Amino acid sequence: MKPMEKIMNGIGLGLLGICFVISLWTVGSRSFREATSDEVHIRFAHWQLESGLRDTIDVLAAEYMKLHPNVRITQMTIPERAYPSWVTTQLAGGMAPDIVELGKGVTAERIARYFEPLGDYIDEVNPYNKGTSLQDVSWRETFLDNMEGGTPGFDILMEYYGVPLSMHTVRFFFNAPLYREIMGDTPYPTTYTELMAFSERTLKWSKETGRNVVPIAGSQYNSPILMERMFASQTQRMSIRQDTTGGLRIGSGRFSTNFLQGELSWKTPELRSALELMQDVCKSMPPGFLQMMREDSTFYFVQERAVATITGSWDSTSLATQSGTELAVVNIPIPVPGPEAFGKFVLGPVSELGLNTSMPFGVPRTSKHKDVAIDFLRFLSSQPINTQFSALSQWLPSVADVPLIPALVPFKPVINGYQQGIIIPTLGADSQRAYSTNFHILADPKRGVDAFVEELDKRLPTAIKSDLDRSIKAAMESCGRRDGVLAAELHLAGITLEQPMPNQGRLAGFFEVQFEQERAAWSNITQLLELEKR
Amino acid sequence: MSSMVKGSRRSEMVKHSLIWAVLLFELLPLYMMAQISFKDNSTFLKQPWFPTEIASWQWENYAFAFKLIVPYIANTVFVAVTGTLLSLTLSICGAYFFARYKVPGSTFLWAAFLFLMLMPGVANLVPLFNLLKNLNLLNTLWALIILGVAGGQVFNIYVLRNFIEDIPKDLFEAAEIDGASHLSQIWNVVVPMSGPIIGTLAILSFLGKWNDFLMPLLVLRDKELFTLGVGLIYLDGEYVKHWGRIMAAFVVSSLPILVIFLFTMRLFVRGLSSGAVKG
Amino acid sequence: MVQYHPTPRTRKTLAFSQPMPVPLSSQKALREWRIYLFVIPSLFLVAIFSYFPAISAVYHSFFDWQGGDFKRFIGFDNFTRAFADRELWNSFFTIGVLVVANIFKLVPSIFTAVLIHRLISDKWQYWYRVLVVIPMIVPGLVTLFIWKFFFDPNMGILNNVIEGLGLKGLLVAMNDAMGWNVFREGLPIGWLSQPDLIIPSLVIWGFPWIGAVGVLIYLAGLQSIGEEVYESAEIDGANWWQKFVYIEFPLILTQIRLTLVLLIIGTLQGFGLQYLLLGMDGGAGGRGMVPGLWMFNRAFGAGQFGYACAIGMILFVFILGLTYINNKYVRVEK
Repeated sequence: MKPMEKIMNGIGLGLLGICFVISLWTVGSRSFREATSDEVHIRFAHWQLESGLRDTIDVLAAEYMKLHPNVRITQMTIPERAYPSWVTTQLAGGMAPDIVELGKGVTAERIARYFEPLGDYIDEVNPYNKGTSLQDVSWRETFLDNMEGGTPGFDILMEYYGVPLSMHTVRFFFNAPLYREIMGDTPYPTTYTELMAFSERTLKWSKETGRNVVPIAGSQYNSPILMERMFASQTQRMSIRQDTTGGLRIGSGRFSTNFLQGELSWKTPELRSALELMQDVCKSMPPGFLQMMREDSTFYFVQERAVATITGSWDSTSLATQSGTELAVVNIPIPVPGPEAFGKFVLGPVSELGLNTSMPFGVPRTSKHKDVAIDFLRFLSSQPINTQFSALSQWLPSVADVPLIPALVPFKPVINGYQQGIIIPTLGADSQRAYSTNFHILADPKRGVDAFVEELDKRLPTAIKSDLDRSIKAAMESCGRRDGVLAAELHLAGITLEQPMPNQGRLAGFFEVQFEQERAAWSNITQLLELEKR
Repeated sequence: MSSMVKGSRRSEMVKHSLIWAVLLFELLPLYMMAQISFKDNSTFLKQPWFPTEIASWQWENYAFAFKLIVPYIANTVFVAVTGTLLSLTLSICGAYFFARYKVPGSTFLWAAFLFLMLMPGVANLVPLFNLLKNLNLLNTLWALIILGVAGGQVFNIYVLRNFIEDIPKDLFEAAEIDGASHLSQIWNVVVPMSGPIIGTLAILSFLGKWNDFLMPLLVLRDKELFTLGVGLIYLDGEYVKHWGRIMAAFVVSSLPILVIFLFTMRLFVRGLSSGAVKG
Repeated sequence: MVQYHPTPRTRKTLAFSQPMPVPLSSQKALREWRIYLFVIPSLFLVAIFSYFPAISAVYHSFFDWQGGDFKRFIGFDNFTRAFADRELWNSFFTIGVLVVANIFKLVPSIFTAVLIHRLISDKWQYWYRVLVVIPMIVPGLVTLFIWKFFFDPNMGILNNVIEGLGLKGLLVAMNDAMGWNVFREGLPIGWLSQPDLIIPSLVIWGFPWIGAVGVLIYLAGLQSIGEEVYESAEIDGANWWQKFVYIEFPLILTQIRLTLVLLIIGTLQGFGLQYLLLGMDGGAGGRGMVPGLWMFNRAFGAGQFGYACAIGMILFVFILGLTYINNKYVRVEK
């Protein structure tokens, strides 16, 4: 090596050496700091990267830290696409953060296995509600839906594991100036007929002016929202007939067994009509919309190549900032009841009363500071703080008696209306996959409803059956799990088998649900067995 | 040489232009990265291909990038350097064992090592994760270092053994006569003679750890511990992408190796070519 | 400890050295017991972090294991399930396509190496070598993400280039003629979001497919060709293609073979590329799913660690089998 080369090499390695020493010092001092500090470090993990949310949580965490000086709260934001694998890895590795957002890869079974049940805390009063209208209400009942939305898979688990901080509704977003340019003074569509009129007018206008604008910016992410509403509108009346318990909650098991037994099929008028309706709607979407991703439809809308888009309240701030124009927020129009325009099977507008809260946060059992974590969650879900949360992030609150800021008023859940009809995706994961991976056949103008039905007839029955099997298995497993708990509770309450079962209170409630779940599961099992005999 | 001069000017031009065509495409990603890093999203949409004038360059992109990437680089340097040093030290010792004497058991052990070279390691991912969990090494940088060292042993020992075998035995014997211990023999005979190959292995090992992302993705949870690979992956997952900032982050990620490369250019190039022939 | 400096006398005796390693009898070995200490750390690490996980993988593939402490022995159920698993076999098909594509991608590196080698000026040769190495400075991840950006339907330059060159019209025409479903007027081409385009995208990425390490390896091999060989070829009137086939290609064949083996094994078990470009589910319609990724998906996505171990085992046996066949074939060639 020539001397020049040696010097250069020396400098290079020397630089590396300096970097190494610096990094050694950084890493070392950090480890030392972590080991010796006695502050409580709470990590708060979620995937909500939408604008405004991270900053909101920072602000609220800072307030909490003011009240509790020895606590430090750091946010961990994981990208949505990486979240399922990240959370599975963390839970399996036993190193999950102290507060974890539930959903997206955290299935009901994993919740039961890895997370701390909140049962002990929810019946007490939330101390942070002192001085408000909720100060004497148990923590569970301060939520708009009694904290059910906090636990995905609640109907299987029947135990509270998560604290919901928000709520979401879905709406149509219109680019107001563009809409006025095309439709003039016509008010925003409230019914399906008006929506189709708007769509036709837009397509014609687009051809006339050469502006290349589509009515609705659909994508594989948001078109299901619209399609589901349309499908559900056609099954509204039918699902009341399916509702045997009168609880206004249509069990998918009943639909599945009827479908497998042939009592329901794609020839049934309501279901056929649903497919035709969805095919009609597809015409308002850009060509090939099913291949577009979430970012693509946002891009379309923001670039003014679409007049409207469909998304939820979670996107309202992002859309507003990105597009920079005035936005109009409108309820999703469905057909009106009546003899025409797909109205035959419709009962009426849909109520969002049964909507659950969302953005649930749970505490893993392996957390070293469970009490502090749960306390922070109590803080976040107290009325004054949830109000602040809603105002700063512009997301709906999950707690009762929280005043809505003006920007959120259009997103307020619609109370008056009927219940939603049943849709295929709710039957289970396999059914949803069989349905959505073939949906492009329906959207293809050259193929359409009959081709879609042909494909569905091939794949859907097996999918429905496997979903049904799985849900029966899950129901029986969770019933089995609860049997032990219930027996223990009976024993503790001093009730023996000779005495009548309690018919009041929390224990009674648990038994009622247990019996209902077992009954539903057994009913499905017997129907499936009958099916196999044929 | 004279026979090649005939008609060579034209064929030389052809060769040069072909090479430049290929190089241009190859360097295109770097060019795009550099010029986009100075724009913001709207400027980029208007003018995606060429740099805008200097006055409108967005230096904030780099402020963001530095703040984001520098902690990751510190962690990565720690893991890469420690890992490389440890890995090479142990490999040299191991290779010395195999190359110096044929003691009872060394054939069996060598076969064990060779077997590992052929064994695809993909199935180990899951149990490795579980092993780290049981050793309480998850979410630490040491897990990455240890894994890196263990993983590099087989290849390094294989290459080094071949090299050490070529060192004349007499050098070792003379050292022994002078009373040198094994350690001293390694330090005074093996290391000076195998300088180039050690350099090559060091480069390969360092680069491997620098670019690693799969294990860090699984093992590291806390943002403070992230290495470069994981940090870049998380950057990619954002909803609204400010491409200028992202490209600036990429540039900053490339700076360390670029700087080292600038100083040790000949070592790099020579080491890679010569070492490869041997291996 | 004595400092050792080789004397001129010892250096002269090189020619009469006994080859290493020096065989020792058991008695002598016992005296030299300290040498075993030198291999123990390496052995220890390799045993714990390479051999133990392998055994653990085999062990756990017979269990229904969700990653926690609880596992249930289910015998061969994981394997029966794997053999019926359509996604797994589709992924093998995909990786087969990618292996073939990667073999073709070796050509540009060889081509470039030959071109550089044939240059007269040594100075230029050196500088081209440097230029070829420069893209290697950029971390592989960054190059990958820049390509992901190229593929972006809205902001990426690939679509810009295609529309700018007027190729879009051509692609749409071919699309309608051949009944594909991917190129459409007015719709930006979704390279990574359309199932049918995923495999082409995986093949296209990295254009022009020059690997710096590859080029350097081939160059080093080519260096050993003497001038006289070329001169006699010129005299015989050989053109550039014949020079390549008869002179250069045979000499770099060993390097090519080595690269080929590593390439095939690497591609077969690799899934990092697919994970970064497409995500854990292998992208739209799962078309980018490869066996390694499916194993990762089952373990860290679905939490089915036992099943993932079984998939890993199947992949392992598959690759091991191929390596064995390759070794046999290679030895015969030599």
